[in-house]
Amino acid sequence: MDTTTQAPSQDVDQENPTSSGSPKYWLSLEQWRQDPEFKKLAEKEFLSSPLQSEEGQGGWARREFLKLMGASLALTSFGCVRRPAQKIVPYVRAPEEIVPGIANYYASSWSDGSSGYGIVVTTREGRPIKIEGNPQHPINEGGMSARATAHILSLYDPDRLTGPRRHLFNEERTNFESVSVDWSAMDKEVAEQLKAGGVAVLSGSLLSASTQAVVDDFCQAFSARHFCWEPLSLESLRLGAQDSYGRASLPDYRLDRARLIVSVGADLLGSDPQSVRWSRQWAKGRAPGPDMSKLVVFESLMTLTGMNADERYRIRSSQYLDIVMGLLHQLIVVQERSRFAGNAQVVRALQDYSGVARQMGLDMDKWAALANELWENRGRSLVVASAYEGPQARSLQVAVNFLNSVLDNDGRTVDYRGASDRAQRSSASDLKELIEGLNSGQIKTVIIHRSNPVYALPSSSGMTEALRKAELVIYTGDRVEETGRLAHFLAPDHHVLENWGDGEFMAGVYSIQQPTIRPLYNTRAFEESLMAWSKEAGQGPQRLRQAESWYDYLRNYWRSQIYSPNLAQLGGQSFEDFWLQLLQTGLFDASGATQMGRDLTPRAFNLSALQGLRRNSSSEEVKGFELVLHPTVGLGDGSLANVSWLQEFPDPVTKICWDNSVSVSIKDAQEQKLRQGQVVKLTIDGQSLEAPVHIQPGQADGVLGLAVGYGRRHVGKVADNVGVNAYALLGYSEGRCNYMPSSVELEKLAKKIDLAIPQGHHSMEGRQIVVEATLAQYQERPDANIYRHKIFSLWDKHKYPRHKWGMVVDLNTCTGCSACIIACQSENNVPVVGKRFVMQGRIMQWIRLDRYYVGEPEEATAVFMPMLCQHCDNAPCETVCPVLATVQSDEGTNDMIYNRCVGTRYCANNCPYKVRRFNWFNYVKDNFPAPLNQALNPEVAVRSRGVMEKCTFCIHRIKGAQQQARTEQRSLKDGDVKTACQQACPTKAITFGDLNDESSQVAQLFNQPRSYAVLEEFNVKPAVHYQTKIRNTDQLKGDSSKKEGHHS
Amino acid sequence: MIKRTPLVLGKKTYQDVTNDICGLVEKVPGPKYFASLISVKALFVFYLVVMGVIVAKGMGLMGVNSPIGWGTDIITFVFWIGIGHAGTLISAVLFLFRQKWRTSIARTAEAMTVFAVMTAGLFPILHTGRPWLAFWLLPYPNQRGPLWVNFRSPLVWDVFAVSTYATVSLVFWYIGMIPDLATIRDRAKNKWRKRIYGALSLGWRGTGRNWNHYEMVYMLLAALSTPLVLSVHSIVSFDFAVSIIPGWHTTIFPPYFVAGAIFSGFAMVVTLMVIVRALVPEFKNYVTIGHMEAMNKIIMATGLMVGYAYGSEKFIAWYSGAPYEQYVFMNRAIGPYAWSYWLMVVCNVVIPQLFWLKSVRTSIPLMFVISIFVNIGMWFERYVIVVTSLHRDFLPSSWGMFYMTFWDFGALIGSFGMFLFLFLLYIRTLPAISISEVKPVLNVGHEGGDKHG
Amino acid sequence: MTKKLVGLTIVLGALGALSLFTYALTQNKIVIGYNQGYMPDQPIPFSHELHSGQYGMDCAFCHSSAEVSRHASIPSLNVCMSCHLVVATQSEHIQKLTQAYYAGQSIAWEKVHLLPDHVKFDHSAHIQAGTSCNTCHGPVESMPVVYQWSSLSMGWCVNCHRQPEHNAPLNCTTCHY
Repeated sequence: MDTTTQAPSQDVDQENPTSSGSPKYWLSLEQWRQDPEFKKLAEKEFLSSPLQSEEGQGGWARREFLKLMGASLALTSFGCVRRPAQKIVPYVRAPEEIVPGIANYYASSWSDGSSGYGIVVTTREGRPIKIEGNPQHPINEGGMSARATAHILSLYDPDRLTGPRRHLFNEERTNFESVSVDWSAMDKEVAEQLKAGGVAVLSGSLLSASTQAVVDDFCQAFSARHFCWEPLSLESLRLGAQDSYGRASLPDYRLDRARLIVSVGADLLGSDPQSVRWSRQWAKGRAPGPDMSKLVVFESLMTLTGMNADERYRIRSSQYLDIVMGLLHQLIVVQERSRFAGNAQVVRALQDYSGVARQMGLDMDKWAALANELWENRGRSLVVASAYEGPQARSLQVAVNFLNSVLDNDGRTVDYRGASDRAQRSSASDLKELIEGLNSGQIKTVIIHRSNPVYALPSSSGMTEALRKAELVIYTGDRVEETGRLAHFLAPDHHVLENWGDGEFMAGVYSIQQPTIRPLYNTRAFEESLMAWSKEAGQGPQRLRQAESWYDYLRNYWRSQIYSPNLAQLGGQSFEDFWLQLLQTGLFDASGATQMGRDLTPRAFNLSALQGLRRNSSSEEVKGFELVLHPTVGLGDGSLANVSWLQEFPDPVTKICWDNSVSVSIKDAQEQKLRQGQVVKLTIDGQSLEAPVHIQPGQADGVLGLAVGYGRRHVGKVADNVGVNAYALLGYSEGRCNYMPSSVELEKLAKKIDLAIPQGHHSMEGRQIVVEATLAQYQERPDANIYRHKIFSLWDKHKYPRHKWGMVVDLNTCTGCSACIIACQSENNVPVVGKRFVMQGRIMQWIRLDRYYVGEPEEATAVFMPMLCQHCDNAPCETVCPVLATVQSDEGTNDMIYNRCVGTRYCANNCPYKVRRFNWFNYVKDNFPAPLNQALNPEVAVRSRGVMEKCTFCIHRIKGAQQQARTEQRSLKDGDVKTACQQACPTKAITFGDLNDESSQVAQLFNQPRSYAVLEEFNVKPAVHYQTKIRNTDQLKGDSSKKEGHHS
Repeated sequence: MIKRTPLVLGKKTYQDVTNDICGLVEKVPGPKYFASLISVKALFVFYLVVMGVIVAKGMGLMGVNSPIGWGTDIITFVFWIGIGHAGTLISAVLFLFRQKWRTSIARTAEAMTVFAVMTAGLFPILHTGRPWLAFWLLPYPNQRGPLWVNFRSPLVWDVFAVSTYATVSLVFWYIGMIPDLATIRDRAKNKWRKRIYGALSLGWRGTGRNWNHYEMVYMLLAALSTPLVLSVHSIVSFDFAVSIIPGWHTTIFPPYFVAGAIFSGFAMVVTLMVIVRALVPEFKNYVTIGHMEAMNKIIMATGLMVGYAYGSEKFIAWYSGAPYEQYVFMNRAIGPYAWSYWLMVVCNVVIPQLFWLKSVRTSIPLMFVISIFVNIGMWFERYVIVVTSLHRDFLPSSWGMFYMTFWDFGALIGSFGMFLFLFLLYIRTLPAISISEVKPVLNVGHEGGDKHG
Repeated sequence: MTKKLVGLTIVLGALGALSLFTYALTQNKIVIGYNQGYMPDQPIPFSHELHSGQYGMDCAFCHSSAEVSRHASIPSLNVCMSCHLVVATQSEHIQKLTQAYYAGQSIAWEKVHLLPDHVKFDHSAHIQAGTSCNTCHGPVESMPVVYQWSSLSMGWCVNCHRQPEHNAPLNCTTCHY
């Protein structure tokens, strides 16, 4: 008997604070009162899972099997069988805003330190179940990244700390014994220690103005110093701007205004912190037409930006500076263009970069054409370069700033006043001074918030030893983590969804972060902890100690710092009205600048900065490989490693999940005789690391890539010891890390680790699946390269009297970022299976983002296709299901009825797109233990073992919208129903709607010449059409244009 | 007058025939029989345990995964159903063709059919994800509106075809046995044996009326089960032919599967007969080398038919010009599962051609080995059809590999345990050769024996 | 002759009975294995007959979310207390209610109409379509103790959806998604 975990209606009673013993959050009254009767019911409700996890109790529970078989036989036997009685417990005093069965939506904001988005949190019966993009927020306009959507799982993570803890150490801090402590005892002890002085606060970039204010007040109270450091810091952008224009401000790009974008190693569309925003802007410029934007990429590893580029060149990461200076040389010295043409100072700086392109083996006339095109598009082009710390990082940014100034882009496509001043504050000098302070004993107490230096720094930095010298270390992460192991006290911070806060992700745009649930555990906000300690110690400015809670402090800060200065713009609105309106929309835009077309006066470039860019003429032949340590789209810096959705998220580039690997170019792999998955040992000045190899088409030779964010320890069952910690290989000197170390020795080992890659094969084998065309071919014939098959049918079509739901996916703007996969997983309770089952081909995600390589392996590029159930009109799965578990609805969707499915799997075999997923085991019950099952969406049935499942076009959203329309006595209009993937897609590539309604956007797109159906020749008539990918280049790399693979 | 080969050797009289056949049932089995029974029973219990664990823990234990939704269960199901067909052919079709040589092997072949169908019948239930709800495949009246089954699905046709096949061959086999059961009843000394066989022989007294009705019913049942030989395996082939998967939806499938079924069925009959002749020496006089030779000829013939089917599939793929079809057959021959494809072709088409030589056709050890190879080849034929077509079909991104796990092997080998266990029980409890049919052909092939044959 | 006749009648009778049973089953005339008539006793013997029958209180007064949400929802204690603060306060049941209310302890009623978890019934859709509560719940206003009046079997619902005048959807995902 399969029991779904749909929460019984309105059993949540917010009114009764519970005694400290029982769980703070409880499902029903019995659970709160720990009724014995409830415990018996609970055991029965949560049957011990028949699947014994490997390391758990081995063998199979025979009793379990008999109970299972016995129970089901009894239930189906003759005679009136009473279903198990259930209780229904109403509220005592019902809160007005919670109506059981109706979702409430709260506008809030999400930030992981390096970037932030406006979000809308869906809550049901008082608990958040989904994070979606806030359509009104200028940064992401409704789009979401995979990590932001998956953040919901870290709220219900069973491995979270449930309260403050103290670690008892011996002198050398080698043993480890953790004891829970209560807040007041900790506050007293901490206050004592704080009074003794030598206090430091280490945090990542704090995008929240009010949190920064609390920290500043706290530092003022104890004459402490606020150090800011985080991994993957983009400090070189600020330092580059300082050198170039005298002001260390972050550049903010406007890709939508750029006709030509040249990226040198910058992965804007993929692993960049603000990839959602850049993808959104890039997509606006990609509409095929005369002024379609063009993306040219020079990079060493294969990245998402490289795969979406119109022209891509493979270079080594040490040559990034040569490329930019080469382009400058070509423009100013060779083609004598721009106002700097004759300038002696400039010419002298550029002269040793002459002929650089030829040395790198680039095609000379393409090189000249590119410089020419840059000049023609001056003011409407953009050059960006990789900003991760490295030997040339700072000079690279100076070169890029100079090139943008030369091309008059500064002020047009580079908006130097748009970026938030709080982002990317991490500074290497802070780190150096912190370590020195700790070693010298000058710093006795350090409070660490949103920063994990012990994990994210190489051992050569000496951070671990320095921390061991501190008298008191307080860590505020939500789990022990690597740094927490060395902390005396753990003061766990609330989760983002449990806590107040704010964020300034763009200059002048203030977003509020409001809690959507009462804190699950005995945690306390970081800001509240600082206030409590300063109250306890009786030191600190008035506002810090007077405010009763962090919420009051926040409101006071907003009233004084944000509300009153902009009173004029608000037209005298009272603060209460302003606050309510803020909570309703989630943001207050004081930037005043219309985001669309803001022109700023270009800044004056300080030419003396060019002197530092002389080429070290002796570019001696570097022995060994260059290594590039890079974040991934899924895990970023690794802070969300314990979220199972992100571990099982197939990396958009390599399609590997549950592991990181050393990516090697094809030529290097042949030379070193390496096979896929073979373990190699990388060594850089004494530090070594073993990881499996992944042979990556399109990667530059002599360069290795390794993803950071893996190899975590003490974070939880999901992430512990998955992959290897790449941060250990970072170069380190004087506080500055080096993400592109060179002279790396690679040693082949005999071992082999199988990498879990859910995608079976990586080329299209000449079949018409993803259709590519050049802009010229498109302009000549809109349905270029699409082969239309002649199909006819003996049978008449299904009738769709009311609606006919359909979808169009524009492959031209789909960057392959896979945010849709996580949004669909969160919306539809799709389970996680684990590495072993992914390797066996049993991944459960309903959207499979197919990435096909095109062109010769070395110079390959790729095309993307989000493949989901096509909801065919002549669905081959419906004819073969013996029990009518999958049927055609009269609204065009192919419905999967979970409770009727017996599990013969013939439908999955007969589906030409292979988009059906089968529950081989009871995945949700095994991998979603309480409290993780709180994240399940009660609108969608949770599937038991032995049942088929697939994309349902979010049928529950269609039902909900229809019911909403009926309640408001109006007919359904276009845009009422948005599928979860369509909502999360940063580039709005997915359009869903009613094909019967001519005026709907999807109906117009469906029959455009550019639209085609995949496997059209089988006459299954899919309800999903794809639009061809247009490359703004004159010659396609792919083989799809070759005709011989096609029959007549 | 062509000289006929004698059907019964050893100058048997009617009394000898009855003693030989009933003797097997009446004698207490020797230690050799018990040893083989115990070992086969252990394999059968292992099979039940394997299937029990799979039902309890989930289909995930077996090797099937996302692109390859079907695996060992369906392959072994088609394999066992295929084997059953030879029995019906021998006992029904050859009866209608008045082939005298069928008399001594008909009863055991029919028994093999019944046991093969029983073994096969378990698989469609146990391969589903929720076997405790597999009864939904039956169109029983219910209170859900009523909610019937999907009559367009080949799996529902399978349920009808296999259950019909099981009932018809069981009835045909049992009715044919009634006179012999009565013989055993009459000879029985021990009270219990008389009472049981008496009940089983439904009061047969051997009167003229009895024989008249018996002959008519036997003829009717033979006529009824003849179409089954062709229809059941055609419907089983519809499981694949009705789909749109390249390599499955070819129109050659129904005749191809029926030929393959008869081919593997006769191979299993030969295997069993060789074993029975070895265990029970007197049976050598009844199941003569002539019988074995005739069966080997049929094996060779159907082997060629199966070979023709392989060739025609390739030709149609080439001729149709569909890229997906061409890829599947190229992938079968040189793809990752090429080993199974060439093993199948060698076992099914090449090895049986040895039967052209009379010496091979009549040498017991050689024919035994060849029949084993044929059945291995036929299992792999279904393996190739199921696995290679599913593992690489339309979208390359969904391609995947299938690897058999311990549980797959457990189910496959275990199913032999079930079949052999039932067969060994049958050999000692029921008359393995039809007394009433052997007696009329006693004199065939002996001089002047034809006059009153 | 009579023996043959008797045999014939027995066989025909059995066949007739079977087909009659099948017809009744599929047309929902008889129902096996559902909770029809399930009448659990409640912690407080609330009488619908008294409240909605005698005093004519409207269903929606207590089951307020029926018009807008999938769940009809059992009234929270403050709804009861809005009257029972003053009405019939001497009755020991009301005292039990009041005591629970002030102690902040809710009352654990027994759920009477219990659909399996894989069925998603939407009260608001039915009320929007003009279905009255009695259609499915029966004459509640005359029930001292609530019992399940109809079988709520799938066939019962599907039959109602099939009536053309209701023009109710017949897709499977109407109730299963």
